[in-house]
Amino acid sequence: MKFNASKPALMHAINAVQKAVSPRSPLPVLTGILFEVTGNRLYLTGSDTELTIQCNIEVETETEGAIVLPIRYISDLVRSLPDIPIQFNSIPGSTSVIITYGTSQVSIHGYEPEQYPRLPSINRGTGIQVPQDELKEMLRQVLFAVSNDETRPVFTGVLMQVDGKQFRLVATDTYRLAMKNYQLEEEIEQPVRAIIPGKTLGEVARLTGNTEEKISIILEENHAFFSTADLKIASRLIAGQYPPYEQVIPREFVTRTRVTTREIMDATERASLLARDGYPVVKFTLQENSCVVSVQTQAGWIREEISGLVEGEPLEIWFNARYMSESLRALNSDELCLELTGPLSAAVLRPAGDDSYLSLLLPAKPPKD
Amino acid sequence: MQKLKKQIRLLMEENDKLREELARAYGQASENIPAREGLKNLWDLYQQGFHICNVHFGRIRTTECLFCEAFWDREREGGR
Repeated sequence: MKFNASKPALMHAINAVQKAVSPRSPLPVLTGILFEVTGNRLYLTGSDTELTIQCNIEVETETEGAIVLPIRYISDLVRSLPDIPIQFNSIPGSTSVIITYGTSQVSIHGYEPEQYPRLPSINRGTGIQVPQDELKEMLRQVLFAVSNDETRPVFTGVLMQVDGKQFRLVATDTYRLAMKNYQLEEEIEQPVRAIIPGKTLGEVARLTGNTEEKISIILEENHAFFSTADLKIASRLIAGQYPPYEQVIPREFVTRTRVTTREIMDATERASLLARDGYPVVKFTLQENSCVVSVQTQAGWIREEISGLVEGEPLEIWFNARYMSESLRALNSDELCLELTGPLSAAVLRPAGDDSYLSLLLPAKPPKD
Repeated sequence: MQKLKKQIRLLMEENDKLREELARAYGQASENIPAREGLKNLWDLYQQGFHICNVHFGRIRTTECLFCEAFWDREREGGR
């Protein structure tokens, strides 16, 4: 294997795949990145066997070939090289590579490429196409609600559901829930549901661009595949049944309010500064034509009145300030529509005038004096 | 590390079995006692910090749970 590449292109590809590589994997070959040159493309692959990311870039190829190079050295080394053409030349009969930059050289020992896991092959699955910027935003709107509790794997993933033309993402840690719908251009014949690890979708969100170019998503029985022109991501699905989330979404409300998202977000964050250490809860009082955000602790008190439209009964309710801020940030709307069924029941947050998104947040218990 | 993992797996399996037994015990109890009393028992269990939803029934509840709340709301509405 012998090729020439630029530093920015190499860094772009290494950054794309390295999150899938575990530098402390007990299998030495999995601590590396697979470099594979075919035609004038260099394919870099990172994998922990659950998640595999492959990125390809254009290079000047002299000889095709492949090698696995340990991420621990190759990532930092390429980052520290000067921005001049870089040549990779693997030594025949060995698993080492010589990297030449200007008049300098460095050699790194790697592993046999044959031992490296390949991207799972796509057999037959349900495929859809979504603009990259839309998917990125959809993921941002739901990923905050994914659980990080590994003892309940189903909740560490996002439910991806395709039915007809509707493409839906749902995430819940059982304390809050986020749901986003998107209307596909083409109808899918067979409805499909898959639970995709939050880590995978975090990488998809990180690596997809702010472009209208489409990303292809294929859902199979055990794997999900995401691909663009220069990127392929394959992930094992989370086994298990996603709980019937529809039944936790309240349908009737006693109080509704419509306020400016920015104002309520800023007020919540300011109020949380005075909240009790370890229990950052903030009181929301919904009354005629305003929402009052307040906290009173030993540290002092704060009261902010935000004018808005309030319908129904006056209500006092407490929320965890951090969860409320995260839910508001995910809203992507200037105006918030907050719907409540009572001081102890889940609140529904929606972007005003947009039915494609909602999030639920359970109230917190008032702090004990 | 392997030993620790094995112990965790055994404890988790034992926990699952205990949860199933607890669910069965509640099921049997609710057949023999009036519905309101069965609900009270569930409410007590919930207040003691356990899940009463079918997603995590019997597990320790560290925070409030959307599924328990929804279950409880349905039961309350059904009782009216």
